[in-house]
Amino acid sequence: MALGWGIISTGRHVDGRIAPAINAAPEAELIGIYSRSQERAETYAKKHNAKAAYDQLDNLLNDSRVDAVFISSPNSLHSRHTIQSARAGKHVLTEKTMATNLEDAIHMIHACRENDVKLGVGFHLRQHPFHIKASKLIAEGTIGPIVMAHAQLSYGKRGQVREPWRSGLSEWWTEADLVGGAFAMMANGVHMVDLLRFLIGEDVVEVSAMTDGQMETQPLEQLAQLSLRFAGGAITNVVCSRRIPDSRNDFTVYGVNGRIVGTNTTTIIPDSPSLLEVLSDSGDYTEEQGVGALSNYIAEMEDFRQAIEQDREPSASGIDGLRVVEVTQAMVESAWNKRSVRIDPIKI
Amino acid sequence: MALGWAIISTGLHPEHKIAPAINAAQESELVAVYSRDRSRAEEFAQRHGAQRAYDSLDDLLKDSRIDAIFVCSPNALHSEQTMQAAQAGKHVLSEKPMATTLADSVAMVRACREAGVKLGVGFNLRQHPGHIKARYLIAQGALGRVTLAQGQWGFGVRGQGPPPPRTGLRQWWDQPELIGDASTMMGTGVHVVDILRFMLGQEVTEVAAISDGQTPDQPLEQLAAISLRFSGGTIGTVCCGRMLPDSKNDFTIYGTDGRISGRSTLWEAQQGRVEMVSETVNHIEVCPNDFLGNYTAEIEDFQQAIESDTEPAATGVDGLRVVEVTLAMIESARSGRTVKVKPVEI
Repeated sequence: MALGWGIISTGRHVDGRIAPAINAAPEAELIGIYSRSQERAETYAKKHNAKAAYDQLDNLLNDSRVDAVFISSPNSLHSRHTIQSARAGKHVLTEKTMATNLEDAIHMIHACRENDVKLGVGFHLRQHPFHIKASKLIAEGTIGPIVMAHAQLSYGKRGQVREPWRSGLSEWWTEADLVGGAFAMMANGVHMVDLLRFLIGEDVVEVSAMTDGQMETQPLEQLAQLSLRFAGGAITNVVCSRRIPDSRNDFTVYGVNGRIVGTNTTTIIPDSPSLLEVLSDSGDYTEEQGVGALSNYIAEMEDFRQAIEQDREPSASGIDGLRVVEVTQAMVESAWNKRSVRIDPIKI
Repeated sequence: MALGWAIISTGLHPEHKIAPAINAAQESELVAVYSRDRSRAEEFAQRHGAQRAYDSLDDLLKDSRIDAIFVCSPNALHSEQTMQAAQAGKHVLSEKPMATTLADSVAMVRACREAGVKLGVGFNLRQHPGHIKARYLIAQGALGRVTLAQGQWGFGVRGQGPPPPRTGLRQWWDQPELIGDASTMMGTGVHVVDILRFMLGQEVTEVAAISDGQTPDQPLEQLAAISLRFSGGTIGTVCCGRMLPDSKNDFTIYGTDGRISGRSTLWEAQQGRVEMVSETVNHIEVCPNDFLGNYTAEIEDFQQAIESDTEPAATGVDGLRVVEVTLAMIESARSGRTVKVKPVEI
């Protein structure tokens, strides 16, 4: 039976990707949309063929057709919305970043465990076929122990020195408290941190950040360079920015026996085919594949449905979300205090 | 008249690159070579057609046919030998890194100024036509505001992991005092730092480094990632390592109007390609492989600097600036702190 979805929030992300992905996913049905404004909820419901529009979250959560909710509200609200949904017995797939502080992230995990519902985090890049393949090859030891890696996800507009700060309903992105103390990191960087964790299969133990923000005159950065040390010793770099119009959104993983490079795989707006290049003692090869704008999101919805059906963890679990929040907090602290920050992963 | 060169040291670097480059360069002549060991000096001289072999540096410096010295000794010795050469009235081209301490670097710059001789540092990547083009285009503003600059130079042997200790005459590479408390950062990292300075036309003001060394257990690193903040606001990253057999030794410089990227240009040989993508310039420059290309050009550039009394491509002050950054890299890797670079006024 199809999984019934409710969506919390009516922002651009929902409009452009999440609602269309739910509609395109097999065995998924878009039941209800919640917004503080009944009018917005109705407009979106109509546009995306949802059966109901709600301006009260309780009413959405009381809709018996809704099995799972997708949370796309401002970052600082994810926690409250997740806990409320879990208590109503709904499975939760929350957009990244999972939460703006560790306490919230932990509460989310506990609430979902206690109510026996699934908790997933929107790291849809885990669904890219080349990321899945690279992660498998690395786990199999094809390129040997990992020593270095890079991942970059940046955007920009030619001629624009920095992105204009967002206004209207997107204004929460400019408020440090609501977005979580970082901008490019929250928008793009968390995806790269999670991707490297996914590819390498380890956690981050130390973070050193250099940014154009995290100072009194500009608290939110639009360009961040992070060096991350992984548990197994790999040293990696993440670049995220809104000031790089011609960014190469690629990843590279180096092992002592070879390398794997993904070209144009880390973008969330695919505009040209992805390439995968593998060099190792088992032979070199390259592969090309077009990835549709919605493919990763559709796969994410289907993965979450299967996780419920098979009673397993979704591709990116609440714990994965928590680990990335730990890295994000460390990144913000490192950029402000100008020193590297060690991470002691919370046991949960 | 041809410029007379002498080489200090008979290691692999002068063997494969510097002596052949002096022999290949226009208007240059390899006059002599110095080694502590006379037979090594003689064998080297014979292989490369040098006229004399010396086991006394004093004697070499008294040879009137010698105009310039190429210093290729272990890093910690560059300073003393440079000053000795300068006092003897010889121009000095020192291999990178120029020195292992700030005081040594400053003393080298002063000694050469006082003696009225040229001082250059072996940042031969400045001779790569693609790097020269990138520097020119960036200075012209083709990239707009430059936001990010990345460069990597690594190497390694597949399956080896951490490289085995060096043996024999190359042991100094594994001795912290002789190499200068860093391994891969000294070997290739300094080249990347300098070439980013060169292409951006900016100085480094802040450094954050993360490495697998700089600890009491492992004083010398084999792997490092370094974040740099430049004077014009650009953020840079330098990666280097000796256990990266499949390293992509590339650079990319991003601006608000486009990007310039070099593929495989950060290497010993002059090679690779440089691609420019922007509003105004969209161009690919392919550089045919020429193993000695950057070295020969470096020798000729230095001779030109002497002849026309100008500064060489990489000056003593460039060398000093990179030493300042390197010391900050080491301190940052050790302490975990982001280190501000305060340029010595000289």
